[in-house]
Amino acid sequence: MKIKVVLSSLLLILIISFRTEGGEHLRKFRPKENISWQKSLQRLKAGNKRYLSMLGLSDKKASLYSRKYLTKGQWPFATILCCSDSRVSPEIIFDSGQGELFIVRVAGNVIDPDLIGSIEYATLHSTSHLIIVMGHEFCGAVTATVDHMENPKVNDTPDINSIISKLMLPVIKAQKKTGLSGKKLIDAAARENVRMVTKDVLKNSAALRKLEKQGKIKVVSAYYLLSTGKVEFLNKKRDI
Amino acid sequence: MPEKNKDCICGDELNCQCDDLTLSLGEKTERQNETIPWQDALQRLKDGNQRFVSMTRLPDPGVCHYTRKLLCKGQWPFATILCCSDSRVPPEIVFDAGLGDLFIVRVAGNVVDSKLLGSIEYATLYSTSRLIMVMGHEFCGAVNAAVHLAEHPEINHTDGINDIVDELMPAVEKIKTETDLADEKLVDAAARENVKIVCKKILENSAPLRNLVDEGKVKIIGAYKMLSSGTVEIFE
Repeated sequence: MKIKVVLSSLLLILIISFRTEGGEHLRKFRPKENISWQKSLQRLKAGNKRYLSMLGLSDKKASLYSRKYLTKGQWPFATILCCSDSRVSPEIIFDSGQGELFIVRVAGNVIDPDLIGSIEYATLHSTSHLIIVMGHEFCGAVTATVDHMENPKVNDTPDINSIISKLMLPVIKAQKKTGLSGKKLIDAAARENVRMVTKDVLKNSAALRKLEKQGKIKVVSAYYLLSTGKVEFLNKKRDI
Repeated sequence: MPEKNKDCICGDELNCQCDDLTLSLGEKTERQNETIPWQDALQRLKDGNQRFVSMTRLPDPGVCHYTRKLLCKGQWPFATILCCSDSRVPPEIVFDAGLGDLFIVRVAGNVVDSKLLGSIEYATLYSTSRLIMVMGHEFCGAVNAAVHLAEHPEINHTDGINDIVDELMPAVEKIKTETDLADEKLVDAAARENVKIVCKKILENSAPLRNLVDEGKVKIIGAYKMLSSGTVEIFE
């Protein structure tokens, strides 16, 4: 009899704890108020830590509940511009679920009017106030650009060339700055590209520039290390 | 203390599973360099979506040391996906895929321009992916903005947003002239139409992809994600 009571109370506790978890989830998906960029950055850092420690929580965030809720709208907490490379999925490396990150992806994380438009859309018409420009180690597009510079004979399609011509400037700049070549130049150029694109996002959008001046939004540079899984933030410490 | 595995590449001595996976990294990368037929890739996407819909996702495949180390050597994605930037349609989650599985191009309204087409070409010409999927979705904000703008031309958007809306306008105009749908139904029909238009545009604008499609080596396929059920409809 005693055992039965103990068992049933244990079961009750289990059920209650599951339900409160569901309740928390409900609150999590109601952030209609705007999220400050400082808080968003902290959330990203915490997510990357969970990913590094292999304590992924993202499964929970694909729940039936969030699926239903998200038919009413989206409330992402950050916008990420990153490379199309299959190894840098932001949802995985920041351990986030459906509805949390607005993501713009193109080879070499460059920008053009359509991509700026996407970032503006998220920042002006949704809850996201943090824009992350994220490059990564071993980037194929930057590698192709370095190859092009060293062997200008290489022939690519016009559309791939449009990406390469965008990346040429950071490659040349990195080479002048560091004097490196080969693999080390690729790494330095990918970092240089992130810094340049971060500036270009603001340069090319009057609407975003205005919000940044008011301190309402922030554009942050980041770099993903494939070998360790860690995301480095490149801005000066006192800025972020 | 178990004997240290000489071929261990994960460095995780306690939980090393390199033995169970493939002993020789060389062999593994060699095999992975083969292109993946689009039929197999499509089946993998369908299976992954089925797992997502029925909430039976696999334990996250992207976090083990082994995968991370292996992926420093290169990428072998099995499909390329062009989809919307919307936070509610992440292909990695919708198709239950891990790190290194999908080459992903994302822009609001899943439109295509030169740099985005270049990204798709890069994946198809230089990696293992032979399937290109263009995926639209229910309640798309960009299509909604285009429908609104068609009805109220006085709305003022930024130049960047206007660029996207302009590219979505042909789909909206087409549905408006062919049917008398309005509001949500118009947005839905226009988003589907846009997927078809973008599939055609990729073929028209890229000579190398057109050649590969004609040879039957590459397939471009349209798809549409229902946010309410999580199901991805595939246009065949």
